[in-house]
Amino acid sequence: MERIAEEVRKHLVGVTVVLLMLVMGLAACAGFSKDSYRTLSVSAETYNAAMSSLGDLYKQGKISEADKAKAVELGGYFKAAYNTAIDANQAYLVVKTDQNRDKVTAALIEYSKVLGKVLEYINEVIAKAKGR
Amino acid sequence: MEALGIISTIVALIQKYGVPAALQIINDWQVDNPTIEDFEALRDRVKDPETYFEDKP
Repeated sequence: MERIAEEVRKHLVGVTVVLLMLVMGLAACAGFSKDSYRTLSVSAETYNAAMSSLGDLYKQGKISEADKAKAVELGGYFKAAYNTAIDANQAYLVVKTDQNRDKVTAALIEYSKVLGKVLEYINEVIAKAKGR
Repeated sequence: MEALGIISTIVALIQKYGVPAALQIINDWQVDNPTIEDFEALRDRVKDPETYFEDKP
């Protein structure tokens, strides 16, 4: 798990940049829902890997209660943004209008911002826990 | 050469996310026309944040 934490930390910036590029490219893509689905899928696994790493460090006593509380708070925002993006995608699949498409794009942009904040915070806490 | 590229991508995914998550990502990438149900299934992937910190010894 520590190796995964290290990988998550190392690739943090890359993951965020790729997600932003995916979101910005969605509007121009033919497979709009497919790309949106893939974006959510990969980013959810990224979030899971990062939070699991943080959870493991907490269980080892390397993370304070305050840091845990902040991570839980940010995780709550992430989950809300994730569910909003899923809702928007489902609404678009029911009624494929430009308006609903724009709502998906807006939801994904907001989602990527929240994901960036969560991953940035996790990166900081992991670095702190490892004395860097 | 294409097979080598696929294999190296799969290995990179496993290194980065672990085997179960890598398999999940590979499965998801095979979905060409996601349905409402496919998106609904994504919802369960993200747990409540508290659960990642449970079972502290």
